Parts: sequence; C-alpha cells; structure tokens
Amino acid sequence: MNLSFIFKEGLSGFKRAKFPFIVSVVTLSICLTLIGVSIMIGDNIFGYFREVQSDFDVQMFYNPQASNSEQHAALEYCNTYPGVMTTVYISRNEAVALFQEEFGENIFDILKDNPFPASVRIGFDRYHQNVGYISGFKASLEQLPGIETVTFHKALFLKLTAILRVLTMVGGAFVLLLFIASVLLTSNTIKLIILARFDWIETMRLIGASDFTIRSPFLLEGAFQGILGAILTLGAVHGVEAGIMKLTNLDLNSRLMQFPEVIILLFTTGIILGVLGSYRAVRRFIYMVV
Amino acid sequence: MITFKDVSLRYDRGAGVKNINFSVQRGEFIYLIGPSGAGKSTLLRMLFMDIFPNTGSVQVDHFDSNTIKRRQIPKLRQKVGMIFQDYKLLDDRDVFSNVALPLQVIGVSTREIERRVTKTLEEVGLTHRRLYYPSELSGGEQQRVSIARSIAKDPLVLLADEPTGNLDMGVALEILNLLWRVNAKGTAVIMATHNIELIKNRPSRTFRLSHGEFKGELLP
Repeated sequence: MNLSFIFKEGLSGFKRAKFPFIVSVVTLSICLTLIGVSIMIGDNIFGYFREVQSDFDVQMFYNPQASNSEQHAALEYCNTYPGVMTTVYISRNEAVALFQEEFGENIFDILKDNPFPASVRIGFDRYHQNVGYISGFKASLEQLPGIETVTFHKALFLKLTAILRVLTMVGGAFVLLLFIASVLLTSNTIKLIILARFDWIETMRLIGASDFTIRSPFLLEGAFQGILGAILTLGAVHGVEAGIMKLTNLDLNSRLMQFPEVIILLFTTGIILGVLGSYRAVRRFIYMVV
Repeated sequence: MITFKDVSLRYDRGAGVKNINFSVQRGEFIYLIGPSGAGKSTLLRMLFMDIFPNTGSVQVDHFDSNTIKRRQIPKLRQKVGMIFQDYKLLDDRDVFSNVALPLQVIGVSTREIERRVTKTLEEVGLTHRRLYYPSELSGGEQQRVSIARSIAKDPLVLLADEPTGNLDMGVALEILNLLWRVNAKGTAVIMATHNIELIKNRPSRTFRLSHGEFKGELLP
C-alpha cells in the first residue's frame, strides 16, 4: 500500500471532476449551515427559557427585625449551599426602586412606610435545578433565624422545566434528522464524483488494488470537501447571526462563532459528513465493479 | 499453475460454460478460440476471479475459486495481467503514469517505478511516447500501453481478451508478436480471439470453444 499515492489521488480528485466537487462542497456547506443555524436558534431559545427559569428559582425574604448578623449568616448559608450559583441581595431601598421600575409608581405615593423587606434572590446551576432539591433547600432556609418567608414558584418552575425538556428532545431529534439527511444528500452528490471516476475504479480493480486503496482517496477527498464546506459555513452562520441582530435588534445570548469549540465542532462535523457521505457512495460502486 | 476442473457456470440470462477441464503450465502460450458467445471471456473472467463457477473449481497459482476470500482477490490480480479490446487506459494521465499505476498501488518506490516503467516502455517500443496521453495515441499504441501496464508488475500470466479486436491485420500481428516476446521472458499468455487467420502466423496450443463447451484441443 502506498500512502503517498492515496494522498496524491485524493487531493487531485477535484481536478478530475471539478463540477461535481464544487457541487459537493456547496451541498455540504448548506447542510452544515442548516445544522449550525438550527443549533444557534435552539441554543438561544433554550438560553432564554433558562434565564426566565432562573428568575423563579428561590427568593428569601428577611424578617424586618432580623439583625445584621442573622442576615449575614443566612446569606453565607446560601452562598455555601451546594448548587447555588448566584445570590443577589436586594436591600429595602433597592426593592422600592425595583417596584418603581416594574410598576412605574413610587411606593411612598401610596403608603407612608416602605413595606418591602430585604431579600435575596438565589439561582441554581443547571445540575441542581430540580424541584426536589430546591424544595429541600427552601425548607432548610425557613428554619434559619431572621427569615420571614421563602418563595419558590414550584408550578411555574415545573412548567418551564417541562418546556426545556421538550425543547431539548425536539431540538436534538431535529439536529439528528438534519444530520442523517445531510449524510444522504452529501453521499448522493459525492456519487457524481464517483460516477465521473468510474473508469478509475474499474482500472484500479483490474490491476489488483485493494478496497482500501480504492476507497481511501475518495474518503480523503470527502474530508477535504468537509473542510472547505465548514469554511463556507463559518461565513454563512456569521452572516445569519449578524443579520438577525441587525434586523431584529435582538441581542443573541450565544453566538456560535464566538466559541472556538463550536468552530472545531463545525470542522469535525464537516469532515465526518464528507467522509461518511463518500464512504456510503463509494461502497456501493466498489461492489458494482468487477 | 492454472487448472480448470469440471467448471460450469450458467448466467441468469442463460449461456455460460459447461464442464470445462484443462490446465496451463508456467510459460505456456495458449489460444482460446471460438465464435462470439462461445465462453472465452467467461473463462478469462474466472481466471481473475471476477466471476465464479457454479460447480467445479478454478485454480490460479495457490488461489482456488472455492476458497478465495474477497480480500485476497487483489493479491491474485497482482499476479495476473489483463488486457482488453478497449484497452481500459485512464485518459486523465500520460503513458508513463498509466504504466506506473499497478506499481504505485503495491507501494513500489518512486525510483524503482521510474526504472521499471522505463524498461517496460522500451520493451513495448513506446519510450518516445511516455508523456503522451491515451487520446493522442493510435489503437495499436494504446494496446501496447495496456500490455506495458500489465507486464510492469511481472505477472505469472497475461490474460488477453480479444486484444486485436479493434486493430487492422498489420497492427494486430505486431501486438501478437509483442505478446510472444512477453511470453519468451517466462510469462504465460492466454489469449482469447476469434481471429483464426491471425493466430496461424504464430501457432501454439489452442483450445476450441463453442456454445460454452470445450470442443477439443489443437496442437501446433
């Protein structure tokens, strides 16, 4: 087996069938863009719901008579509790400001005294966001001195959790289907390349080339197409993100191209799609020829 | 080296070959003659294990049609050279690259490929055409390239399926003479043809086939 021969044949494949090669790269790129944009949209919807959900984790209200040390101890308890990701202390004055921000009215125009107690908003990381765990935490908070009440909107939390679960499943299934469709589509376009090189496969068979030697240049070419497709996709997804932000004035939670791991994943997916598509296409032809 | 033992094959559409028995020794030159549809190509295809008999066995060197695995077929074909009426050259590369192909496939070094291809092109008289593309060559020259590609790997046997079918008598005779020169160096040659006039020029052991059946052997 001659590896340099395989590399040479694989990399020069595009010269021998230029048009099918370009069609394959563009097809791959469209598939990758669809997958990338779907993940981006899904991730942003997911992020939005998670943000909404985190607002409804837990809020702990201090007893107006709670001492500073009791307040401090309760806050410290929250900060060291496993799974607690954020604690935001809201003083009585801040609560007044928040009321005005939300309802547009100054509480002192309605009442003579400030009725709002100081409170702490507590958010959990994604691994601890389940009803049982948060309910246990809520119960433990209620035992602490200086705590008036603890709220946890269990029903809303459950509803949001269910929505997130459905989103994860539907989104995952959609991306998986898109991936399968991409492999089939890519493999069909790569067949054009193989058809254009049918004589090559036939001749290679006759002179005693192994399946590996015949298949490898096509797989290499598929990987090459995947890399080129991923580069085109980088530009396309970047354009879609910029377009969405410009047209809707929406600040996307996550932009795929900001993360190096997403770029690596994009190239890996491109290579896998190209190689799988080639493998599927070439396998059939290898068995068709002598 | 080559043995056909009680070989029969029936295609789905009918025809094929029936109860074929013969053997070929190293260095022999054999003609398979008979009209179209006699089964000549079928026997050659069985020799490079493109198709397999329904009954009986074909043995080439130590490869047996009944026991060979798919992954062993390339090994067999590296020992068997094949030429066809339509040459089967790759149009996208020059003569040198076409002849070098089987050597590249088995991983021969670049320097050795250069040496062997140059020598082989000398043998077939095509040194001056080494950088030409197949489309720039005559039919006879293309068949010479095809022969060069087959013998560059030094095969045990060269199978020729109507190698002169597309050539006029003069060029056909040149190709036949070339095959005899290849044979003189120790490579067995099995040539299928229906051109009786041609082989009268270079008589040798001949198997006659008709309707897939062995109709006798003619000795020179």
